[in-house]
Amino acid sequence: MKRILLAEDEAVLRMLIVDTLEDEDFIVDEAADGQEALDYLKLEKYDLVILDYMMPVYTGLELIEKIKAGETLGHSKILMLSAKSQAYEQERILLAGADYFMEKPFSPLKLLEKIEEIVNEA
Amino acid sequence: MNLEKYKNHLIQNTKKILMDWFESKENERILQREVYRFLHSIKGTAGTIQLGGLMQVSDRLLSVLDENSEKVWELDELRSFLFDLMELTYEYENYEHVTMKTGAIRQSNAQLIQIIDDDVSMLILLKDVLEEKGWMVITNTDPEKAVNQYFEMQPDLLILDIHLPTKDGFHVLEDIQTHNEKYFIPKMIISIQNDKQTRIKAYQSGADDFIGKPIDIEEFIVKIERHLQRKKMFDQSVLIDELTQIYNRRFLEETLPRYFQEFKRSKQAFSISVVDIDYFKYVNDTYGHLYGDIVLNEFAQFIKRSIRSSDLIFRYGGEEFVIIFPGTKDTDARQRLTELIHAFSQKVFIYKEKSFTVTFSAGLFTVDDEFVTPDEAFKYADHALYEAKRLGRARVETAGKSLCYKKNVLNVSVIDDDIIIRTMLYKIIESIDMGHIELNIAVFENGPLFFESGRADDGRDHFLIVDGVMPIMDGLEVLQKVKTGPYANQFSVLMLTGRKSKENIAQALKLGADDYVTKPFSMPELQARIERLLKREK
Repeated sequence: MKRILLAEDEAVLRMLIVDTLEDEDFIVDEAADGQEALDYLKLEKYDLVILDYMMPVYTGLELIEKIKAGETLGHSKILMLSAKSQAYEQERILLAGADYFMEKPFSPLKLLEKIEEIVNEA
Repeated sequence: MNLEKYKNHLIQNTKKILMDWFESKENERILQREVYRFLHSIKGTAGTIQLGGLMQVSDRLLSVLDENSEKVWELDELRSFLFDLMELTYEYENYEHVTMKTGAIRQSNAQLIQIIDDDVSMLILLKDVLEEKGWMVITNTDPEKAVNQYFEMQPDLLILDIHLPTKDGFHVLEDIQTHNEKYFIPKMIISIQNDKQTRIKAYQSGADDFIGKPIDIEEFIVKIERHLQRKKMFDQSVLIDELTQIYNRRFLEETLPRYFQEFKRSKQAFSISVVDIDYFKYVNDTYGHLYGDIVLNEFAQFIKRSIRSSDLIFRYGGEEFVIIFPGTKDTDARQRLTELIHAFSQKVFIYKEKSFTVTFSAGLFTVDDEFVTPDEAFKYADHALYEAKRLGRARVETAGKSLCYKKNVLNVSVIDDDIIIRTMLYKIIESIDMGHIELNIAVFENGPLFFESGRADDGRDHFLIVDGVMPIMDGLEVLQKVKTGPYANQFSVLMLTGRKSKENIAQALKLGADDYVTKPFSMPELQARIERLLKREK
């Protein structure tokens, strides 16, 4: 079974994504801020890491830097969620090392589709 | 995917934070950063769980806030800043109640916009904005019900979200496609998915316009204005009914006065008949609106084939038609209509191997003096149609002129155990202008109270709205009692029913109900229906 880390500070959204993924038999760890996410990343290797852009403690971008700098266990695919829709933001996120990008608001089904596509690719 | 749970969570979370802020100790101040975060998190979540209205409002508020400002908010100041958001949160929780409130105040001549979106907060927002502009808005979250409403109400503009719970918007467009081909009703798609592929698919499915969410309200309104203008121009230029290809109401209104002028010259009597298909709503509900359209069309073609070439048939609206018999006195016209009714009732319709027949009723008025105006003549014929319906349908009744002035007071009674529905109905009926007929309105919480009041036995014409399911005395019992009583013919009955079951509806109709509305109903729809039935009382 595929293991996913979800770092999203928005409780309702986190609940929705976790429910959606667990219905599809993914194993999901959830983090409510950057620190929690980092703690998980140091303990576990994930097939996919979903990061929110704006989070307390560490932002999504800061977490990517830490992953790239080898502060965590191994390398996983990274999907960034962001409300910032401007093209340059998206570019910045991808340049920083995110593999995929999804703009908020998204349809939950689209997100699921995307996630399945990503993990099946791997 | 059912998002109810998450919607409720977000609403509750939002309310909790608002309460924490505003119900805490006095003099508390809130940091700009907190306000920004609060709005930002609503915005980020709301769109995904289909609370687009909330997303829209929080986005608007965010756009005037500087994230890095050191500003500190006073509570009063913050309260007025967040007012729209608070209002929307409240309205979302009380959605049913709110729609009923706004439904009661509509202008019956306003252009009608139908919005189908399962995002209730978005519906509330759009409805408010659009009704402020003077349009009438009917909203629906359930695509099945929405399609029925579309056929029944025939809106001037359809606005449709492609993400719906049980059926996606493209399927809804497919469902109304055959109708689309015959009627000009502009359709706008709104969607959170704004990519080229989705847009192309929308246009291919018959959409005239596409708007991405979050919606830019200003642009949205301008687009709506343009669509409605075009729709109005189109309607005004067309003289043929799109579905049946016979003349339409507009042409009737232009033509009818000419017959009156001709009469003044030639002194040759002519007849006008208003005819209406019996239990047509039942046909629609049982076999679907698509088949209902086929029945309408067959009916129109049947009449057109069967009348003389000098006679004219018009579609007046819905299942109501008008026939003009030039140079025909009432006995002859009556004879001809009787033959038509008989011949049509022999016609067998077949739907999925089930066969059935359809009848129609006719009201007749003959113009044989110069003092009658076209409007009056139509009214007399329409009244006679009502008599024909009341006397058992599938028949023709002739209007005498005196008959039409006989009644000045009409009793209207509402029996419903739900206080809110009762009250709303009272308000709606009170607001209907019936010209020279005075409405004597009363509401009752159960059947026995109604009968004890003695209103049922005062011999007046009586319009009764009765809830199907009630404690003490069931709506069907009330119906049966008035329809077997001594004043049975004085009653028209509209049944409110939560019973989707066809047997119950069929039973209500068999017992003599004139119409029924299934719950939950929207107030504008009910109001339109009540107005239509009441006006027929004229």
